[in-house]
Amino acid sequence: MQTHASQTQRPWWKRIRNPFLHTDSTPTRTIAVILAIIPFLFLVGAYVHKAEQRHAASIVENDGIDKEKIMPYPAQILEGVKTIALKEDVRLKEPILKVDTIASGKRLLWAYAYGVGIAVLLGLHMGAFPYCGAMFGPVIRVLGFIPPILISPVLVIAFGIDELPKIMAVIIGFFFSVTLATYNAASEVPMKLIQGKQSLGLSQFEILYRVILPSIAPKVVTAIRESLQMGVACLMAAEFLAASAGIGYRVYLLKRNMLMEQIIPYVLWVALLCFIIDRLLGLWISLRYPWFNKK
Amino acid sequence: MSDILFHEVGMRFPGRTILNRVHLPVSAGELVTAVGPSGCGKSTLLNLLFGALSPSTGSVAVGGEKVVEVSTKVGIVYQDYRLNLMPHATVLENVALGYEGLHSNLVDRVLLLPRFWRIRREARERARALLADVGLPPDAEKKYPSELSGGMQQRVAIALALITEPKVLVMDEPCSGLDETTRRGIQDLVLEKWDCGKMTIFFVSHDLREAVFLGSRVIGLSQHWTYEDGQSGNGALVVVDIETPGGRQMHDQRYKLDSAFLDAVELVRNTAIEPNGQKPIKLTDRVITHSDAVRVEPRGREVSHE
Repeated sequence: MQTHASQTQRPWWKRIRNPFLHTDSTPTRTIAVILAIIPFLFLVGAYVHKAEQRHAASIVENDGIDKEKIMPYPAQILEGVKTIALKEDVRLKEPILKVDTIASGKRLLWAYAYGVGIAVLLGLHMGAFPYCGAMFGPVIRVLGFIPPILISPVLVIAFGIDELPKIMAVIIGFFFSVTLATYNAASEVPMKLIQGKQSLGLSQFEILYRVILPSIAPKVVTAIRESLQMGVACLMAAEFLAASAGIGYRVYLLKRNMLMEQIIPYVLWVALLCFIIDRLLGLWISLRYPWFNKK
Repeated sequence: MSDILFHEVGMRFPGRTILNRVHLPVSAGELVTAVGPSGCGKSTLLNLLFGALSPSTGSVAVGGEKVVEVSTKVGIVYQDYRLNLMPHATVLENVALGYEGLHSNLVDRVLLLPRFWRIRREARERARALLADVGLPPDAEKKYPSELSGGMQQRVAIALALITEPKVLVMDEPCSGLDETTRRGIQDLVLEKWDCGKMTIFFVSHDLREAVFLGSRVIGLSQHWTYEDGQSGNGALVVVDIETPGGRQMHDQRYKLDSAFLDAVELVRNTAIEPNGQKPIKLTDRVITHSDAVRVEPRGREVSHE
């Protein structure tokens, strides 16, 4: 009775269940969308507020002339979007946004096409065959600690300003993380499962490609998905250093003229593209590997 | 000649002896169940037979040939389906893979020769028949292992182990973690396959009742051992080898065993026994025989027909 009485006497704020602090509270789809939008709105609001402050300060400091360039108004950014979407590249006679997106996209695609296969094969063999793991594991781990962005200048010096250093920069950005993720995933395949397949008469080669690789495939795709951020960062850094087209190159040019109203759309465009690729890979995992993550 | 022979087998890991001088012959067609407390070496014994481990001393032979690695002679069913079945393959693909692995060679499979496609077709037909035989509904073949219940997963694992028609089937607590009804279903399936397959089955269980019910012979393992010269340790040793009425005779008398019989089994596991011509040594509460497995006659062997 005493317990019951003490419960009814709890203040009202203690009786409210805060869903943000409950592990068993899951939002509905609609609420999840609303919750996801709130931080974006907050960021936009904070930006607009700060931009207004800076513009007002600039007017005061410059005798009524607005010289603020770092944080343009949303309207100015929209103008910038129009400019980059419509302004034609002198050489190719096509909108610069399209030219730069295609140039950067091709580099990213080539880098992943060349690098992912090697990374996955190396990681797979390291994880499946302990001798390979013992030989290559330490060197891959050590090299993986080198910040890939620092390698970009070295690549430019070594390979010139052609496409190769930029593709190499992306490969270095994702190679070690994908290799190590594949290595770890392959090592985690239970030995008993492998031995069970040996007892069915499968060869080592078949165990590798029919048992281990398919069973870790979703983890490999997840690793590729997660490596995208670093791959893109390395590409941008390499394009900053030496390129004649590409999003990184364009942002570098625009930075020299302090054209923030055009830089911001470029940055948001990269984020949007990466977000779309990330979602597509996530969709691929859930459709192609429906068994993954099932208890 | 024995179908399986553990000859003076010892298994040591750093700082720990798991098995010590175990001598255990098993005849063809026997269903041997091994029981004992956790950590006593049941699974080690099974892995030695399967070829996943090599003994520190002694040898293990199947069909007169020494076991040196995993081979198609011995099929296996683990307790956890994740160790039996590939998560990325459907039930049918999982079972068919066994037949493909055994009947087509690497060249056929890599070059996708006509022979490979023929064998693949055969494998699927055979897998379907086997899945129906172990009691799986037809719609289950397209499901992934993670979509099945525990009992169904074990049925698939048994079908997979049987598709290569191994001489010996080893089962590592396949009924653990299953509810009573499912457990009975799996036990019936094991007995059914044993009856018609003429296979030798080595079945590990932690449940004495299950071991006695299933086994045509029960092997008990203890965690403590001592020799006549007074040496002792924490390794395991086969301490009792009981011929049970088990299996077929007890099929209809599930678990309605005479309590005296179970008492006898417990008794020989824990206290003094009179092995054939060998002097038992009594230390604390355990009786340790010499290295050989000992055949004893349990008391109250009759099965109650209540």
